[in-house]
Amino acid sequence: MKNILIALFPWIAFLSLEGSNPIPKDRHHQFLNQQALASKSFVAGKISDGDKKWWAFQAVTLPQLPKTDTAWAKNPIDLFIESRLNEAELKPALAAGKRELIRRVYYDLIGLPPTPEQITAFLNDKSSDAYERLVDDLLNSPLYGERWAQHWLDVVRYSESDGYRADGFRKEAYQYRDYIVNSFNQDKPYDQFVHEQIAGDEYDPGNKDALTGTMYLRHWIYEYNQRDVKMQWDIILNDVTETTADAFMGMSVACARCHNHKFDPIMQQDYYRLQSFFQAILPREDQLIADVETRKNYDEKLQHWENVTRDLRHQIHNIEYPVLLEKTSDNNFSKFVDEIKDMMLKHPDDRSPYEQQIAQMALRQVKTESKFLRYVPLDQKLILDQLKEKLDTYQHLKPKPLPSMNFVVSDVGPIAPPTLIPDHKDKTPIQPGFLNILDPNPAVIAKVDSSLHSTGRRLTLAKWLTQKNNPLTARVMANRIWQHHFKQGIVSTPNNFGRLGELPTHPELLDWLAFQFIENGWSMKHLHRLICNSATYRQTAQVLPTPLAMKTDPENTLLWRYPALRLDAEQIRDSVLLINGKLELSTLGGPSVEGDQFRRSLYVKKIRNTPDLLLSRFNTPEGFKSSPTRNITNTPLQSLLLFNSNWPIQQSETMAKQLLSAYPSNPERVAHLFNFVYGRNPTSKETQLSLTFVEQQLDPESEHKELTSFSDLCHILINSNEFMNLY
Amino acid sequence: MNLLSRSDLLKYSGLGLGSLALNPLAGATQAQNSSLRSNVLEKLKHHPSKAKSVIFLFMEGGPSQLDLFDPKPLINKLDGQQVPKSFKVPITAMGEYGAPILGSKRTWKQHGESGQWISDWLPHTATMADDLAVIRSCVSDGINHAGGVCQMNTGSILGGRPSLGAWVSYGLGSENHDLPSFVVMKDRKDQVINGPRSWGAGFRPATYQGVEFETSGEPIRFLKPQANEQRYLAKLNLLRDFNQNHYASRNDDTELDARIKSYELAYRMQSVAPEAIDINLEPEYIKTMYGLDQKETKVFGSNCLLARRLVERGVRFIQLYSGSGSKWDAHSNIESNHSGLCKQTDQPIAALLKDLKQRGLLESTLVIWGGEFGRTPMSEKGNGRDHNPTGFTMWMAGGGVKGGQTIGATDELGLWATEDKMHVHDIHASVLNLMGLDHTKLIFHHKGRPERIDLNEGYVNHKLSS
Repeated sequence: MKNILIALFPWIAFLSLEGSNPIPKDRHHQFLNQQALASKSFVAGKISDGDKKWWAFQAVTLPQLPKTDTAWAKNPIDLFIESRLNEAELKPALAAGKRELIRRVYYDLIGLPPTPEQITAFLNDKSSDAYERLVDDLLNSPLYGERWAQHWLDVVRYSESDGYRADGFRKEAYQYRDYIVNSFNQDKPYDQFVHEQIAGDEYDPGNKDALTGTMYLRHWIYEYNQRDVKMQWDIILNDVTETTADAFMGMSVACARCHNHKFDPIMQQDYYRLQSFFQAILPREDQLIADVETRKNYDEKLQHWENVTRDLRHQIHNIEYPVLLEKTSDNNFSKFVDEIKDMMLKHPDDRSPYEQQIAQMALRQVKTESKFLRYVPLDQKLILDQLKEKLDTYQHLKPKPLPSMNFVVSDVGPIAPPTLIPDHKDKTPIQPGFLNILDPNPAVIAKVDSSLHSTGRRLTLAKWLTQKNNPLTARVMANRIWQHHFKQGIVSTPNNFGRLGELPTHPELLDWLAFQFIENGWSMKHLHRLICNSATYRQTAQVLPTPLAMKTDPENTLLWRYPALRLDAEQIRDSVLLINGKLELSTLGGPSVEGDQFRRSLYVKKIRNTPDLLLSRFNTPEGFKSSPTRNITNTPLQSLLLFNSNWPIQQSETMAKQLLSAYPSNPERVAHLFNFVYGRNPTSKETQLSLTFVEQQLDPESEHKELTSFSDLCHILINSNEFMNLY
Repeated sequence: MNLLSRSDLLKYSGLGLGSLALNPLAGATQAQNSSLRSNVLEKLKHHPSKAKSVIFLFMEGGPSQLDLFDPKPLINKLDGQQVPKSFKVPITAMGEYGAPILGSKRTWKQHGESGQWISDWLPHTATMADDLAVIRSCVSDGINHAGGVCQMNTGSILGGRPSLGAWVSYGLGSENHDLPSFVVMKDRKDQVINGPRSWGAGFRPATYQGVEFETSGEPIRFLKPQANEQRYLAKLNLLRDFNQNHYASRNDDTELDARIKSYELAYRMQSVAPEAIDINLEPEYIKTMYGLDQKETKVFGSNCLLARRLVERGVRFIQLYSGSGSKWDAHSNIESNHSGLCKQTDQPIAALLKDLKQRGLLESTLVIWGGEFGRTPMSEKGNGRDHNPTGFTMWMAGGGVKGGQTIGATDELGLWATEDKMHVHDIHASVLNLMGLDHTKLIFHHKGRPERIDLNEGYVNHKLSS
């Protein structure tokens, strides 16, 4: 066994497969006991020794592979699964048939069902590695990125609208969605992926792709007329802080915004230490796309020009700005309290970093007019003209503009505003730092080139997150990947690895996966391959639980069979359109479309207050907060929508038209329909039921009798449980 | 106007509606009284309570407490003058903190034995004064409509959380399995601020979300089949056959069964919902009482009458929007704005209270009146008022509420709540309390956090209950 494994999977060679320490039978019980013990000494606001023993805070180490007696295992994943099953005296299910397997792996990796031709080709491929090659083909398909991007977009509360009353559309947001699709398709190393989203502007400032990653910091909700600017800014910073903890660290820190966490060793101070990394951010619509060399060059010239013209520019500002702000048709400047007005009126050079952030947010609410100069009093106007004329004489000193982009984030400058705990007596600013339990010292801030005018704080956070010894990052992402392959994560609360989350069902397997993830260059496709090729993944779902399984593990957390899966909203819509031939698969990316178009659901506009009805009724997240898991519901409103609304009926009609024109006889039509929708031939009983139905359904009044009856049959199939559920 | 007749329903009984014959609702052609409520255990109830249902009358846009329930002689005295420096300056939506004070043109009287102050804009409501607990000290964090409506519904000015109706449905379940437990109706086509997420389930499963009832035509979207009955039933039958074949070898999967049942429920809804909303079944005097014979009161009156019919049928939480799309938002010309909306709602609301009372249903129905905030004593555009979330009025009646009392107070201008402040979190906690639910125990674990309606900040105001 060992030799075969080593031949197939060379990375096993360095593992001590036959470890000298016998693995105790009840290893998992030991783990549970340890964790219970670790929780006992918990006192809110203090870090105890017990807290330090909490599993999620331990460094990821390569666990010993359990020994098993059977030859079931195809790779180490299976050894972990099998040993837990053995402990529970359960057995893995038989391997799934090829038909079951191809449907599963298609939906899983690309979100679509295989066509009858694809199924036939796979069934006819008798080579020993037919399945492994199929997995590779699917992972290499651009459709893979489109499917797996969706999972990440849920986690980062992605949406394309502001989310308040006006719910303004964000026309640039789709670029982030495409960036995610491409990142998955390129198998971008996850550590790079983290860097780009948290600090793309500091990490790789000349790379438009990396800058697009920082749109991650723009998906907060935004109220275009919120006059309480400081409050809105606090809300935005809280959103970024909490989403980052949720998405990258699997730690729910939200509780600690107002008080020390009541269950986890997370201090209120930890919340603000984390927030401090983001304290300097500024939403940018003019972010330069230029590498450090170019920026240096540019900055040198610009600084020189700024120094020479400082007085002139300030004089111009002092005359122009009050008029610019006050003479607008919306009169919005007048609606702010004096404190905010003062910040807005100041020359940007004179604003503190915080004032600059607040002023910039407030200025977004004032629509200035291009012809405002006509309101400048005549005497002032004369002075202004002279000043501008003079300023023009320095034009040659100004550097040529660099390309720029919008809807991204940079820092407000090299100095961050102070981070303070609201309503706290102690006004000593909180320095950026990681969770106290992992590292109580203030973070050592990374140096970034001065031409970037950035603090380096976010880069520091990204570096810390992706250090090999960070116990959270790799585990959290490996768990997310596992989760989407098996419906449930090894930790079933993917955003919460703390005490309010669930304990891992297979802690060692999670560590093993996290270890593989890091050691293989943070490659997500590497994990997909390991998982999809495991015997665990290849078990059948079509088996009833044994009485023992029903009693001891009815939830199938030990994976004694492959779990049954319900299609999610995007899979439902995309499958219907694929089956009836309407789905447009040729283009990748681009601006979003309305739900009545025929692009994949990933490309349907995500408007927070008016989401697509079909998709939202099947539980697509609202996009306000990180959403790591989808709700599964069976409501009558879903049934009404699928059974009575226009869209499914129209799609069924399209489907029926194709059946009618492509196949001459009813039995052939029924057979093909079943193959398209269920990926299998109908049973003789189903054929007979369908044929009888079609006959009876012939509407004597209808001109298109056959069309109506076949539409009805198609409609029934896409409403059926077999279509909606994967087994 | 039943979409499917009773006989169809019986014909279709093969759909696994084994319970059909046992279901008293299926057999009733017309619902008359609250005895129709099935005896479903209120699954999560923490303590005994009188209230079983809620009717939330949401005056969207923010009605003026200063012109309806909270008289302030000082604003008439200081009419046209600046707010005295002794009052704290609030941040307002339109920056009207420097604008002169606008006096109220209302005449005020004390009503009922309790002597509640109610202005001449609400003469009908005034006749029910002894049933109302008027809360003059409501406080919200939302200075704009979006945040205000969101918080009044969900507890947070940010989206993404379940609304009060969803919490109540979750806590108490449904008493009528053929109708949704949380129903929303609007009085005009305009969208309620933030759209359907105002009655959304947030991070909760969609099961608990509010269902919008249209008040004419199809009550629920997609309720009506797009085929004749024969064809429709044949489709449902074949679907059932396929689903049952599929289920036979996988009968450990309750999700499959739940999905089969969701089609059955959808089908029953098609039969039950149209009857539930058919107000033509009501006698004339009732229709007149709700003002269905008058142009102004017809729409909101119909909604109020429908609400009563739904309460009778065990619907748990009903929310009626008046002025959907912020129509109470009187930044200018408050006189014509509020007098119109008061006219539209006053008689229907009073009729609802009276009607519930005469049927013995007011005891078990909590009626809530209010908007997302109130309005400022400072004027806007000369004759309007800006948003005021720092001190505004709501009232509650029925459902175990002690009527004829005023709770809390605002300062002399009606600008800031000063006594017995009830933040939205406290209002939510108190509503749950009246429903027999403990707001500290009604929790939902989301992403590992125990979530509560009140974001862990609310307190029950026990003065409300009798």
